[in-house]
Amino acid sequence: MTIGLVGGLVGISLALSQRDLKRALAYSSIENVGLVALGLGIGVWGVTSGHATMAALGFAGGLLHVWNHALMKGLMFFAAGSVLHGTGTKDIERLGGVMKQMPRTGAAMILGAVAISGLPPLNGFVSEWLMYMGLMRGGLSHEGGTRAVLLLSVGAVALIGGLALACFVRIVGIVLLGEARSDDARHAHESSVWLTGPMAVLAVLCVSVALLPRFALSCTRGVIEQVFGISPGEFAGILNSAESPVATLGALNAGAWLAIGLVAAALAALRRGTVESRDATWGCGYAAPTPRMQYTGSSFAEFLVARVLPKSLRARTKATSPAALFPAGGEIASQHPDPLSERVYEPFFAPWADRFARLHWLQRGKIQIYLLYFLVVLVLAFGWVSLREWLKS
Amino acid sequence: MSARLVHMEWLAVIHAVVHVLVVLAMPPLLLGVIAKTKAVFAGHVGPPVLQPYYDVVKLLQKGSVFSTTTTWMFLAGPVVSLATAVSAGMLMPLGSHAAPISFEGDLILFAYLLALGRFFTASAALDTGSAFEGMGAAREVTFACLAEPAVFFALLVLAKLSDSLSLTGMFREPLFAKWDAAGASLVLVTVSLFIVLLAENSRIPFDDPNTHLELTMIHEVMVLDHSGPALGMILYGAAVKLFVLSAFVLRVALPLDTGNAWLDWLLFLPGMLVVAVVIGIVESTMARLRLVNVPKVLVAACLLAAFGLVLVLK
Repeated sequence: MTIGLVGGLVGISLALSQRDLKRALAYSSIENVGLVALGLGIGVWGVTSGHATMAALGFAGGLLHVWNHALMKGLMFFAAGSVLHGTGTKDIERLGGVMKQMPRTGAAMILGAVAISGLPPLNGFVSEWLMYMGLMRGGLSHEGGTRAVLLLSVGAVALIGGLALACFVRIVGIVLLGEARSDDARHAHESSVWLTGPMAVLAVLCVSVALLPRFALSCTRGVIEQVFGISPGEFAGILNSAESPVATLGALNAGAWLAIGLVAAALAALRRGTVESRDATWGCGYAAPTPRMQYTGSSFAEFLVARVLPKSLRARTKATSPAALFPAGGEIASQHPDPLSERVYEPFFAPWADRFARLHWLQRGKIQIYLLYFLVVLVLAFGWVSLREWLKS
Repeated sequence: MSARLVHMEWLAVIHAVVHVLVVLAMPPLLLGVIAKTKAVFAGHVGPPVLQPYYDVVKLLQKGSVFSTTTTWMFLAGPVVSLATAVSAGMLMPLGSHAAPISFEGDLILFAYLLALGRFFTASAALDTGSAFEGMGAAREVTFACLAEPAVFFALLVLAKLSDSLSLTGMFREPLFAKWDAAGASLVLVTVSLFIVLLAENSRIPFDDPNTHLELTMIHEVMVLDHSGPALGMILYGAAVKLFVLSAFVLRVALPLDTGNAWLDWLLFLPGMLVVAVVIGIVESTMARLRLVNVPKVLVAACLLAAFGLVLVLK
């Protein structure tokens, strides 16, 4: 569970400041796998403390999130690939306004982003809801310090949710919306049906899991019975009870779609018969705005990354601000190092890499010498075995 | 017996209808009352209390100007934020009767519906390609990250006290008796929720909803480019969100329950006006915070609610 929460928080915090679209999605995978681990952790906690409801909710949430993540992240990566195909870049700061040329890819990406932020009325919400319920049900019925841990984790999950929302608003807003930030993005073209078709399939699946969560959960029943020993009947009973009505959630997801549709219809009706015109975005009186004046991916995340996140997760920025009366050009450069690889993996593996490098003279690149090594090892092994037998007897 | 049951069901339907009507009709009144309070403090007459209604109706009839930069996401912002605010209103119990929609776990849906509205409002702002609106969107999502845990901690305190995970269940038994036992943590929760109410609705000290210019830093700047019916929907949706969160604060802070559902309605409606007056007083007596201090206040709100939670667990 701890691994899940830490992974979730670190993953999404790092995803926030990435410039590379696909790299940002990859960091968000760390977050989602963290959530899966959290769900399974809740389940194991429930089993060990004999709390069947908590166990079933945790396992159901974790395993459903595996499914959901496959659907949503698949959708996002397909969409990112399609953007790369259509524009030739996956640098967030060079994209923008892609939605106008690539409406189908754009719509798929927005749907995927809403789903992966865990928002209703899509599938990510269903699995996050199950995990929240597991934490809350467990936390409210346990005794002593454990329940405080469980209930305070709810806050951490809420924080992960908030950060994921910020991260995916940034991806959608900077990549798809606004004005193109480079010629590559300006001359984007929509991908063929072979690229958009699979996205449509995944999008439909995302919506159906949200509308029919019971059906999706019945797919995880076998795993839960075999691995965790909760019988299917008990599992279904818990998930369909009034204490955790999964089916109601599906119905309400449909209700949310309906509400959005109704308001959209109302807006369409109100717009009919009114005068509409198109003009440039209001620049507060400035007459010559350029796409370079838009908010960029870095500036979107700046406030959150620089003011709210802990120092180790921040991007490293070097800035020379314009100064004096007739300033020379300012300069800003930023790096997004991965604190784990920089502070944990590299210090650990670097000395070992050094030590192994000293054995480099063994590697001659000649097959005869390698065969000789085999022979030596075999002789030594046989020698060792026969020596042991001889000593025993 | 069955006649009595039928009668009960009819009563529930009538209360649900009243609930829907109140959620749809009352919100702009709160904006009017806040504006009137501020006017009284400033020593002028101020616009009539019903002015927000006139504004919304006028905007809904007007034509609109769309930026050439925008796509359908620009209109999805107002549509989704209004739809989610009204849906959240359907989950929040107002009087002592049940909310029209309630089930165990609806508190998570409540928080996440508001988040969905935020996703689309912020995306619509980024759709214009304007630096101001991008700035507003970035701030909105940043502050929401910090407000979200506070809401969840507050909900958990109520869940712990009532042993229920639905908003209706939390307020089914009057909180009055619980104020006796867990008064300290309920005070913390009320303060925390009030801070979240001000932050989520972009009121002073977090944002100034009056300066309809770029100086306004969060919500108003995100809707700079919207016009006509879309702007009317945004104004109305923001009012509904203010109403729903105010109702939440009121239901915690006013634990009374007369036993008569109609009397509770009579208690609830003026209560909401009192909340609006309190917001107006806060806005009149405080200046806007420096932006860099906003996260600190929100973290404080989180901590207050978390302390409240630890206190009820004791």
